[in-house]
Amino acid sequence: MKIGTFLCNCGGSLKNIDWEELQNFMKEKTGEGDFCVYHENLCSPEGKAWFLETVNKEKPDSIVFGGCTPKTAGYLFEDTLKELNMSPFQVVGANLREHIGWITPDKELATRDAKASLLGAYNKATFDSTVEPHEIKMSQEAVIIGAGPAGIQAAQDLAEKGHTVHLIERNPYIGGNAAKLGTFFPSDDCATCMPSVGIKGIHQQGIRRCHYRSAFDLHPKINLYIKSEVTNVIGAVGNYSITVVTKPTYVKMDRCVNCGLCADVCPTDKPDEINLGLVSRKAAYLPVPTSSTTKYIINRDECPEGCTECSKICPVDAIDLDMKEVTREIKAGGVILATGFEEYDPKIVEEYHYGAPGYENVVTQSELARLIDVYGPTLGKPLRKEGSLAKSIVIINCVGSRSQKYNIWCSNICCMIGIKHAIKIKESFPEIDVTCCYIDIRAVGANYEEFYNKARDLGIKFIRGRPAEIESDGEYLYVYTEDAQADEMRTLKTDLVALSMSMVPSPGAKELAEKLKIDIDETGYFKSLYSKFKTTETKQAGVFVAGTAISPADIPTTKLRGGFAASHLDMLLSQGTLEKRFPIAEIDNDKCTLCEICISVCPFGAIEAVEAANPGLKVQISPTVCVGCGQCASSCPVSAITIDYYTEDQILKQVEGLLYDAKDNPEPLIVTFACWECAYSAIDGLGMSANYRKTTHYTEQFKEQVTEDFPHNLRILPVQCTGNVSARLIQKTFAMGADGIIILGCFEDKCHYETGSKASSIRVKILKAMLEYAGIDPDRLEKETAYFMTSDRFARTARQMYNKLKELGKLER
Amino acid sequence: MTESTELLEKFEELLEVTKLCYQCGTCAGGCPVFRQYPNFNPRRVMEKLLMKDFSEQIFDDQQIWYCSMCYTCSVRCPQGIDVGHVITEIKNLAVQMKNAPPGIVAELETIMETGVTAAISKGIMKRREQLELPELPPPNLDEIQKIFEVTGAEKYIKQIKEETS
Repeated sequence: MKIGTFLCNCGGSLKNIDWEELQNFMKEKTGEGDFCVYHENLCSPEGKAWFLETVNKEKPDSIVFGGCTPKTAGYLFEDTLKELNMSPFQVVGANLREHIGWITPDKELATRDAKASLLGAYNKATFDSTVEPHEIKMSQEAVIIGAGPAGIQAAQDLAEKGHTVHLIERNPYIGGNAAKLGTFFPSDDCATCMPSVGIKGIHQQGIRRCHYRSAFDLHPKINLYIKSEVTNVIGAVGNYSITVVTKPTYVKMDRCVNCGLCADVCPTDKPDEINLGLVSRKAAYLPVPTSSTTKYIINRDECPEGCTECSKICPVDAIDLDMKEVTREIKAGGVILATGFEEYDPKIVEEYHYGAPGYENVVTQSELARLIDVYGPTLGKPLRKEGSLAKSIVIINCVGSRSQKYNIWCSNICCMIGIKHAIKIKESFPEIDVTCCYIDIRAVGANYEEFYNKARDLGIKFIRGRPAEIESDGEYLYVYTEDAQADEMRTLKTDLVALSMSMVPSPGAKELAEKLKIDIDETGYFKSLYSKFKTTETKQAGVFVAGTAISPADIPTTKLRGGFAASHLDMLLSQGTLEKRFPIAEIDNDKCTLCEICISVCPFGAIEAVEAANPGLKVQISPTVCVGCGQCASSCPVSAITIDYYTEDQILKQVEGLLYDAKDNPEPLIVTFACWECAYSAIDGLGMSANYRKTTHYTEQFKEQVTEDFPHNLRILPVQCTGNVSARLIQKTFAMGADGIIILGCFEDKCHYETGSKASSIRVKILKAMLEYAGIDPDRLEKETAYFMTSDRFARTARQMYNKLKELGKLER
Repeated sequence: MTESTELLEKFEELLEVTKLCYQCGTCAGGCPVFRQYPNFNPRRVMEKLLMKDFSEQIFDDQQIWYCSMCYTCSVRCPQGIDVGHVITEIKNLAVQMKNAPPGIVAELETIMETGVTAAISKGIMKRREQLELPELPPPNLDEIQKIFEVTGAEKYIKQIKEETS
């Protein structure tokens, strides 16, 4: 193997490194065919041309680059490498600028560290790192589960982008909770209003449509399955196979004209779900009156024995009382979960007596929405159970939310929904007295505070206090609350009380998460890959989440999440084929003993035991699900798993180079295994900070601070994730001459590979105990976490360890 | 450990359990005393703790003695704070700091000496007779005095009396 080393002096600015000595050192240490060349400014156009010319002439198999951090060098030379038809893995960077040149002012010390870094990189480069092209064709279809505002938005966006969309809805209608809410804030109009697609195009300015005229279900790319649920999922990103079971509605969707004659003749009387049981309906019924995408359906369980009245009267022959359940296998490249929320059970908050005799006029906010909806059971009049118009209404916020006892989270929209209902009632019935009891009013969206002001303007009363209980005398309700602003007790005698219930994940979310191998967080909602901007992504590359399935949200946010998820799924599928992006895990089936530890530690579910179906093959690692974090490799007791480009041999060879001077160096040497993500950047950040202070003079007082804080003799090497650093690797590194070892990972809750940093913390804890047992001071091994903005954490730990090792002396072997 | 550091530690413990209080007023809204007597407001007691008001004020506050210890606040608190317990602890601390109101001390003394809060008068006995209720058994004074001794109540009553006389 021929290895070419390119040194760059960053325009001649790294004067504290002896470049000539470095070049001589490399010539002495490297193999016969190898070469080491120097350029003062390699990233300049002239430098790049010279680089291209040199590589073309010398034709090395691998390249070592000694200069700025490989984090930026990688991007600077991306085009050049493409031109040379080399993979990024065939270049190994030695970070001589951020990690050494900018931090260690002493020329002798800096040059010594630079030699170590360079030789380490060279050793690593002696391994073959050519990347086999690996491509998997992806299905261009998408499955969306849940047809509420988020699912509808995602379906429309994906369909407009040209993907065939399978929209799966459990209810017999679309629109989700929004279909029950009537109007919504802050626009103060229909909750189910949607953009129009298919006919005029989604982006036509100003066009928005009611559900009933949206032609949503007529879009040629959208397949809507109502009364359907996902029962099984197999496959991974790009190629899912999803089993969907559709319950019969007994009405042929393509024939029904919504005339309603079937319901008219139906002899039954059942509570109506969409109106939360406030009124009754027939067994043949229209689930929501406001949508033409919804047709009449028949609930056969409720049909009287032998009755065929509906079928006889239907003028368009749409009814088939023998309709069967249908099971479909849908192939899709990706899935969006938009399963939404439901109201928390109001009976759990006992002191409000929801559902108890005498408390029939205690309702939830959803029920109040039905009462004041002109399409609702009371034609928009807030009537009491016995039928009289309520003269006073009390709205109680935060019922079951923001509580250690019930649900810890703020449900985000209840304040505004309460205000919306108060406004709607007051506008239609100014004589009704409306009072809102609140802990804090959270009016945080665009135009929300204005909406709140409007409510005050209309004369709606606001009392700061969470009512302790509701009492009933059979006729009136009495709400007992403190008015915390007046420091007074208030007993509100009222006709109707509406509880703003907490929002909890839809039932079945957990089972879906299990089927799709994603996580739910402690609240029960789906866990986003990253809360700041990967909100709609999950740890499975092909599974996205949207709407209120992530956390409680208003309709604008829900729609944004739906669109965001669709846009990201489109970006994924539009690639057509899936390329191998990361170094991934490889298993040697001859070594494997089928202990299945790797299967249990893999946070992505990428590993499967396949022996039963494939004799001779024990364990299979999915090349599309695996991200190459190496948690499996470091846990494998027989070293059967390796990570391309980060194999144990390769890492140890690099350590050998990093510790080239272990025998002659009188000072202690610290090896740092840094996760290639946030942690490595944090060390870069230290160098950047030091250089910034030195050159920019903006804080004279702290000019030398970072350099003083940061010790030399640090030998840093990147790993894909600290979860890949095995106990064996740490022990061998000590044996090879390290006096101290720091494992620098990302913060455990921000680990890029879910559990990697946590795993390494546990490993270090155990190893510390083992070191102590072996008579080695456990302070020689530390785990630290850092990200770019907390780079000082690493500097502090490194300095502390350096001082400690000075005290302890070199490790005797 | 001196008595004052012990008190301070106890106080820190109380602060610890009240940390999550967001002053929603559920405790006050359900408090049967607050409904009748607005000067006693459990939410205000919690507020003082949250503000780390470690002046004597909180213990000097005679109003906390109006708490009837029904613990409705503890049951209702959405943050799961045992408000009733916190108020009881403040009462205990106040006693240790010799800040109990004279009326309370006198009542305690009566119980300690007679075993009952109020002496059983002839009138009461007569009324019971009329209602055909059984005769009241005499209080077990030994047991009651043992409780006063073991809990330290006896000691505190004595100290407070010495202080005030």
